[in-house]
Amino acid sequence: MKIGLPGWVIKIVKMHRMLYRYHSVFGHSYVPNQKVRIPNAEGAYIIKTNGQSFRSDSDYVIKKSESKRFIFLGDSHTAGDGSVSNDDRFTNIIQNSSSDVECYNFACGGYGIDQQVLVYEYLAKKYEHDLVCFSFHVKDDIGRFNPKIDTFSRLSNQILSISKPYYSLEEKQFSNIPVPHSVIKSLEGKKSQEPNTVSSISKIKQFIRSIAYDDENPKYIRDYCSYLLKFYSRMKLESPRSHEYRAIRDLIHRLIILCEDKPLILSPLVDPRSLYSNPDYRKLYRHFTSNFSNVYYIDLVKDLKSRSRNYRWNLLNKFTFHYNLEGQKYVSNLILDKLKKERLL
Amino acid sequence: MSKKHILGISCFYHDSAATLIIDNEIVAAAQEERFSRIKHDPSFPVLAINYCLEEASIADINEIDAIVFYDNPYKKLERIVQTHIESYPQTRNIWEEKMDAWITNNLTIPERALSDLGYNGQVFSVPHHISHASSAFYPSPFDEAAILTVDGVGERATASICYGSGNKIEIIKQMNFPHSLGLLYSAFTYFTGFRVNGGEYKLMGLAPYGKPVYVDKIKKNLLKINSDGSIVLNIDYFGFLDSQKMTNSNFASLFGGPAREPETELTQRELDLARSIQAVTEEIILKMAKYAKKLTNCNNLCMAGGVALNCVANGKILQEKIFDEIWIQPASGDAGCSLGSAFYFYYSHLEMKRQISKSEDSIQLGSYWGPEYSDKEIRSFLDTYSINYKKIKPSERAALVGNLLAQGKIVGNFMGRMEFGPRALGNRSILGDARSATTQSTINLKIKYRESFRPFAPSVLSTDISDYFELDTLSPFMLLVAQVNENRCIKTDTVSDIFERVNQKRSDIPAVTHVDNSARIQSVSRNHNSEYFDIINEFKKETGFGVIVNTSFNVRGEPIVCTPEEAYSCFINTEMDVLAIGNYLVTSKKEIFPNTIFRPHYNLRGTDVRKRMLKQQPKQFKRKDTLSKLYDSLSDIKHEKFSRDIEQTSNWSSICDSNIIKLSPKNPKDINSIFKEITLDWINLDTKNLELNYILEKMIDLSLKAPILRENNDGVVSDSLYVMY
Repeated sequence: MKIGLPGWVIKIVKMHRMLYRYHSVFGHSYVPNQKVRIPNAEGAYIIKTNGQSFRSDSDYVIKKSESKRFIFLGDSHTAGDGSVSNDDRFTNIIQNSSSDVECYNFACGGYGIDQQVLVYEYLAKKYEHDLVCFSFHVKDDIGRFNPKIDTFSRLSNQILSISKPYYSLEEKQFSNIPVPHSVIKSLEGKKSQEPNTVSSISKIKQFIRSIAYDDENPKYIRDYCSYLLKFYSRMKLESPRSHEYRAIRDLIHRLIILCEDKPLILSPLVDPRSLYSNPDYRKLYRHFTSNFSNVYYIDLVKDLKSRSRNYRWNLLNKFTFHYNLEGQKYVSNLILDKLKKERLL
Repeated sequence: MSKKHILGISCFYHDSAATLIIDNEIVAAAQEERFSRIKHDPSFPVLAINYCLEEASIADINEIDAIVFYDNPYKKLERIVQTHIESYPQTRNIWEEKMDAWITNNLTIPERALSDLGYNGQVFSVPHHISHASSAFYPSPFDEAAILTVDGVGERATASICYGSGNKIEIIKQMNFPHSLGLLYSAFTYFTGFRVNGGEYKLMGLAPYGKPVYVDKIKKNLLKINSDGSIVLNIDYFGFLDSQKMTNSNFASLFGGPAREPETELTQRELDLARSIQAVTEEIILKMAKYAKKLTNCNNLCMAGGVALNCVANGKILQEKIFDEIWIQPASGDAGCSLGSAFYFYYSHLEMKRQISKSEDSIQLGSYWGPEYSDKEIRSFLDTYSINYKKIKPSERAALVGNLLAQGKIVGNFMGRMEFGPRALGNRSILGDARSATTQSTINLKIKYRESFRPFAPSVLSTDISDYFELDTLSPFMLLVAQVNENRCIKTDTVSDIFERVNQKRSDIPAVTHVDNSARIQSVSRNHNSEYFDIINEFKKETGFGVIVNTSFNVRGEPIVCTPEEAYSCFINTEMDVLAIGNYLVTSKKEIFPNTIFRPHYNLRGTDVRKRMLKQQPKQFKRKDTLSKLYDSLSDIKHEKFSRDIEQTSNWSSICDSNIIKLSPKNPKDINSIFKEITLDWINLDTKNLELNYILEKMIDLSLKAPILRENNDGVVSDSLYVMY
C-alpha cells in the first residue's frame, strides 16, 4: 500500500488554527507566533511563525551580525506553504549550507508581487541585509495582481473575497491604494463596484470565474477555467501598452530602486510540470531588468528543460503543487550556484 | 535512551479521542468532537491526532514509536458474533446495517493508520477495561490502589476490579456482557427520553426531582444484585441484544407505558424512574467498591468508565469512607481510554519505571491538555473581523472578570488550554453569580437553550470547600456530589411542579444548589489553574462568596467550543453579557459575516467527496447481500450461551482480558493466518467450527476489500484556495 494520504483525504483535514490575519498594509499576513501542523500528501508539515508574522523559528532582528544576511521575498512557494516545514525550505537550506549566511524569509502565502514589494518597502528594508532575492511564482505575478484575493472561510463556509492593497491607474500614474476599509466580502453577496485596477474584471472573465467557482461543475472544468483566468491575465503582459505590463515593469523598477546598490536576485519560480504551456515570461523580466547592473537573473526554465520529465514531476507535492523537499533542494542549489558564480556568497 | 512517543487512540464507538505521551508525561489529549464539531464524534480521530502531533511539533508521524488502540477489536468481534447467534434471527437488520461498517473500521486499524495518517509503524491494542483502569491508575497520585472500572461494554467485560501497584496493573475480576450496570443505566436513559451515550448525566440531574418508588420493582424484575456488587440482568426486559433499542415491550409494561418521546414533557414517572435507577446504581457501585476493597485491601481507589461520571454515586463511596482516598479519571468515558491505552503500553509493555509525582498531585494536573490560543492569535481573529474589544492587562483580568460576575453578568470565559474530558473546568466555561436566584434559569433558557431543570455546578476555591459543602476532600474534576452546608440552606415549601421547584431559592447560593440541596462540585486550586482561582478569589473579595457558577461553553447539542471563532460565534448567538477571551474583553455583538452559522461545515467543493461516496454505493449493496447470506449461516454455529443464572451468588469472572496484542496490516492472500490471529483468544465460540470459519473468512475478506467509510468527514477544504479565516 502506498504510504501517505490520498488526495481527497488531505482536502478534508480541517484546521483548528487561524493561519492568516488581516494586515492594514499588506492585506494579510501570517498570525504571529503561530504553530500549525498541516497534513499533506507526503505526511505533514509544520508552519511556525515568528513575532514579525513570517515563517521562521526565531524572531528577526534589525542589526545583522558579521554573517551575510539575505532577504527573500515571495509567495507561498518561497514561504514553503503547501509542502514543507520551515527548516526544509530552500531559504533555510541555503542558510544551513554556510555558517556565514543568514536568510530572512519575508514570503507569505497568497501574496502577489505588489504585496511582496510592499513588504520590502515597509518592513524588510529596515532589517540590515546584503542581498535581496525576489522569488515569486510566475503564476502569481499577475494572477494575484488585483484588489482582492479569494479564500475560504472556515467560519462562514463561504468563499470570501479578501481586500488587499492594489495599484490603480490614476491620471496615467500607478499609485498604491491601501487596503480598503471593507476587508471581507462574500463572493455570493452583493459585489462592490470594481475599482479602476490594472486587471478590472471583464464580463467574459466574470463568466469564466463563475464557472470556476461553481461547485456543481466537474472538477476538470473548474480547473480549466481557473487556468484560463490566469492565462487571460498573462496574455495582457505581451502588450507594452497594457496596464498589466506597465504595472509589473513599474513594480520591478520600484523594487530595484528600493534595493539601492544591493544585489537583487530575480528568480521567478515556475511549475516544473508545465514549462511549455504558459507564455514565456523570461524575455519580459530580462527586458525589465536589463539596464540594471545589480540585478542577477536565475533562469529556472532553462535548467528545468534540461531535466527529464520524471525528475521535474518529482519536485512537486502531488496535491498542492508546491515544491516538495526535493524541489526545495533543487531551487536552493540553483540559487547557491548563482551566488557562487557571481561571487555574492 | 531516546524518549518514547506513544499515541493512544479511541474511536468507532463514541467520543473518539487521541492522547500523546512522551515517556511518562502527557503532552496533549483531546476529543475529536472539539475539532470536527460533531457532538460525540465516533470517527477515526485524525483531527485530534493532528493536534497532538502539532503540540509536540512532530511533522512526521513516523517519529511515533507506537500507536495504541483502546480495545481489542478481535475479542469484540467474538462478542458481537455471539450476540447475533443468540438472537438469531431477530437481528438480521442490525447485522446487515451495522456489520459492514463495523468490520471495515475495526478490523483495519493499521491500514487506517497508514492510509489516513501515513503511519507505517507498530500498532497495538489494549483491552478496553484495562485501558479504563490504566487511565485511572497511572495518572493518579497513588503508588498502590484498587481500581474499579464500570461502563456499558468493552470486548466482553462490562466492569472490572483491578489492582495497581507501581507500574503494574493486574485485572482480578471482570463482569461480562450482557450483565452491565452501564447498559442498565442507559436503558433508563433511553426509556426516559434522553440520548444513550450522552443523556445519562441528564437522567442523573433529574433524579433529585423524583421519589425512589420503583426501586423494588427494578430489583425484583430487572436484575439481581449480589452482595459483591455483581449483577445478573433479566434479559427478557431489555432490547439491546436483539433490537436497536435499549428496552422492549416487557420493560414498558413493567413501568406502565411506552418510553417517553424525546423533547416531550417530563412526567412524574420519568422523575421517579430517574430517582429509582440512581438509587439502584448507588447500591451496586457501593457494593462493588466494598468488594474491590476486600479483594485488594488497598486504601486508595481509582475509578474510570462511563459510570464513574455518576458523581452522585462517587460522592456516596466517599461518604461511606470505604477508601481513604479516591481518584477518578476526569475523562472517564471512552475518550479517556486513549490516555489509558498509551500509559498501559508504556508501563506494562515497555516495562518503564513509574514515578509518582512528588507533590502528591496527579500527573494529569487539572486535565487541561487541549489546544491553547495565544493573545496574538485571538487578537488576529478579532482584528480580522473588525470586532470591537478592550485589551486587558493580564494582571487585571481576574479582577475584571470577578467584578463583572459580582455585578450579575454572565461571562463567557475563554483562556488557556482546553480541557480533556466532558467537563469544562474554567478555561472553556460560562460563568455566573452563584448567589443569584435567576442565574440557573437564565443560563439554561437564554444561553444554553436546554432543559431548565438541569443544575449547574459550582466552582469553589479549594480553600473554601467546607464553608459551603459537606465535603472534606478536593474535587478538581467536578466528579463528586455533596450537600450544601445545612446552615446555608433555606426551607422551601413542597411543590409538585418541576419548573416551580427549579426556581425556588434553596440556599444562599441558589444557582448551584440542586433541588435536594446537593451540588456537583469543582474545587479550584491555584496549582491547577491559577488564573481561574484568581477570578473566583476576586469575586470573593467583591461579594464575600468564594464560589461561582461554572457551565460548559457551548449551547445544547454542540460540543464545547475549542477556538476563538467558536467562542465568539457562541457568544453572539446567545444572551451572554460579556466574552472574556484571552486578555481581551468583548461586549458588543456583531454579526461578523452574513449567513454565519455557528457550526462550521466544510462543504466547499465537497461534491468531490460526495460523488466518490455515491460511487461506492453499489458496492455497499453487494456487500449487504453477502452479509445477509452470512447471517443465515449463524444458526449452525455452536457456542457457549450468555449466562442467565440468577441463582449464582457472584457474577464476577476470574477469566480476564489483559493481553496487549499487535495489530498487523493484513495480507489479503493469507486469510488463514488472519483468521488465526483474530480468533487466538476466543473462548465462547468454537473456532474449529467450519461455519464460523467460513463466516469469518468472508467478513475479513469484506473488510480488506472495503473502501474506508468516512461519513462523518463529509466536508472538504479547497486545495486551490488559501484557508485563511
